[in-house]
Amino acid sequence: MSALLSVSHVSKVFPRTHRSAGLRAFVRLALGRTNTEGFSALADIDFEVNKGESLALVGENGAGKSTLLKIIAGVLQPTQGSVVRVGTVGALLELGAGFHAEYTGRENLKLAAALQGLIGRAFEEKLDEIIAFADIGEHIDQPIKTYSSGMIVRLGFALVTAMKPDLLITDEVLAVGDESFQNKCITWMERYLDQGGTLLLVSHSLYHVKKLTQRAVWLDHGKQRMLGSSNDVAIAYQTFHEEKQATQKVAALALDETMLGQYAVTALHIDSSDATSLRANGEVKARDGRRPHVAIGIVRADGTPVFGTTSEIDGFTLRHAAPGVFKFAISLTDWRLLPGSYRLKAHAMDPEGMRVYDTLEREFMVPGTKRELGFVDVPRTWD
Amino acid sequence: MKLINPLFVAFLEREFKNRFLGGVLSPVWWVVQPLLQLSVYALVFSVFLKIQLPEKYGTSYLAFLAVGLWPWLAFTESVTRGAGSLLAQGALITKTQLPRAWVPLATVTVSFSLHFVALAVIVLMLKVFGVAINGWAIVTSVPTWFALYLAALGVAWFVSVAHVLIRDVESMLAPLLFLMTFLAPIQYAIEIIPEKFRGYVYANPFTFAIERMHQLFLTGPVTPAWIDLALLLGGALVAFLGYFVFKRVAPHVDDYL
Repeated sequence: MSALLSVSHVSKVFPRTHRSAGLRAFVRLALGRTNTEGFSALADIDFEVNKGESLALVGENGAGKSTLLKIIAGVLQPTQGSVVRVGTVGALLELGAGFHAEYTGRENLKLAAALQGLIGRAFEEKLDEIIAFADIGEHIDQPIKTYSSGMIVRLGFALVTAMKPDLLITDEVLAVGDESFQNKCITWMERYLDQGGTLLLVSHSLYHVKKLTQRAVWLDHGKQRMLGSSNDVAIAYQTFHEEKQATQKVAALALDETMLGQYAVTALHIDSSDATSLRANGEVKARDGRRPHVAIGIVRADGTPVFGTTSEIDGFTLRHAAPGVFKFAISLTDWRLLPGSYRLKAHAMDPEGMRVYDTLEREFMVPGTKRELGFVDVPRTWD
Repeated sequence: MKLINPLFVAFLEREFKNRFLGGVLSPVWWVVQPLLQLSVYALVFSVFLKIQLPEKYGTSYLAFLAVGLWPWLAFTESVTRGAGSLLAQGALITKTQLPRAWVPLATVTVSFSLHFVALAVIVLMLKVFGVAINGWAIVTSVPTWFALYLAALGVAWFVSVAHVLIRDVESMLAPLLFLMTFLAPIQYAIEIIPEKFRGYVYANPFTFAIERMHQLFLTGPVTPAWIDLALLLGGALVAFLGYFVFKRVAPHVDDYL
């Protein structure tokens, strides 16, 4: 294992840019001093990326992920610390970075490729391959300003596929582009990783993080909050978010206690979940003290219903925990769900199992590497 | 070494295209605009004000004007365009690893190449129309051009980073360059300035470059050839100082773009 990238104690301070401060800043910079006052975007970031050991950056908006990527790509200078890169680096930093709106896709490719070191005959040879991957038809000879954002991403990504850099840096670009192109990119990335490529990825999709990378760094307000295996980091990060949302929800509930319906789900926790099962527990409150029912459902991340049942259908009675408070726990096992992001929903129901009241939901992930389509793994035999 | 870097060639090519982008007539404007400027100056100074050229410059005011004006236009255009160049290419330099010094370098290189060719064409045209002008000076004036190029480069490097931090720079440049246009013997011959004011004109270092152009194309060398060397050294010094400041400030311009 050799380090492709060493980030040592990197800090970045953005100076406050008052109009009047420019002259002073200019004189100070010209005299060879750096500006250390201002907004601290990154503080003491320190990690290494080894060959074949992809790394993800996770964190909330404004945590400093993009700034760090720019520093790693060599576009931005750190205020303190240093970055050492070994081998070729390809960077997909932002939508259409380095593209000029007035030029055609083909003309833009030429300079963009040159900037990444692909020049002359080598470029000419790869041009067809790049254009084929981008798959934007005759738009390639139209000015970029007429492109949709999806087409710009296609062009940028197509260029990277031709470069096959030792280290590929991508910033959230997979979020743009339609599903088929996203899948094309993911497929390409998986092959690139199999062939020994190394990825440095920023993504809000923990699914992608776990799928494509081995290690992850969690940035929180410019600080390195956690560095570890992507699974550990993803779990910690997800828990952090769930807790944050839960406290927001509880706060909202506490405020609106009087506004709640007759029956309400006041808690829902996923105790555990893996590829084939899930265990959850929850709490339902009844203002009239009668024993309510609860409906449990699974939906896809996009809201498509997958499965639903109620305690009334299953003949289960909720446990009386305190006056007006009823608890339940449920295990869902041996499902045939395909990998992906899902939500568990709990609805409060009246004791008759007739009317549905409010809902709580929690996200969960079905892990795995299956490639079948849809969301149910239907048992099958081929002849 | 850097001049033959293929990436630089690609970037330079882009810069060339940028000049002619947008309008169908852009290439025409590049020729027409200075020609119009030349005609306006010729009309005002030669016809209306009846400025007399000392005999040694020959009889064509147009030739006198063109020879001094074009290198100066190259310089002013380089500096004005150079000042805004980092801002104009902000999207490129903040998102790619393009060496930043290339941005003003390409701007200045393109301006000087275009104006050098333009003057060569005009000189040949004048010759065809029978004006007494030394065509070989197109070649022998190269060191003078190069000295001006180096000076323009240094100033462009300096003002490009300065302008990112201090946005007034570009506005201040216009009147300053306008003043210097009149403090150089471009529209008039140095000889028609009263003795006691000549010092002001010679305080402008460009006077020496313009005079050298006049000598090479029209009067024959009067000042010794080492003036070229002195001009080159001066230009190199300006280029070095400009680059020195650029190198220090440029890595930090992202914070202000």
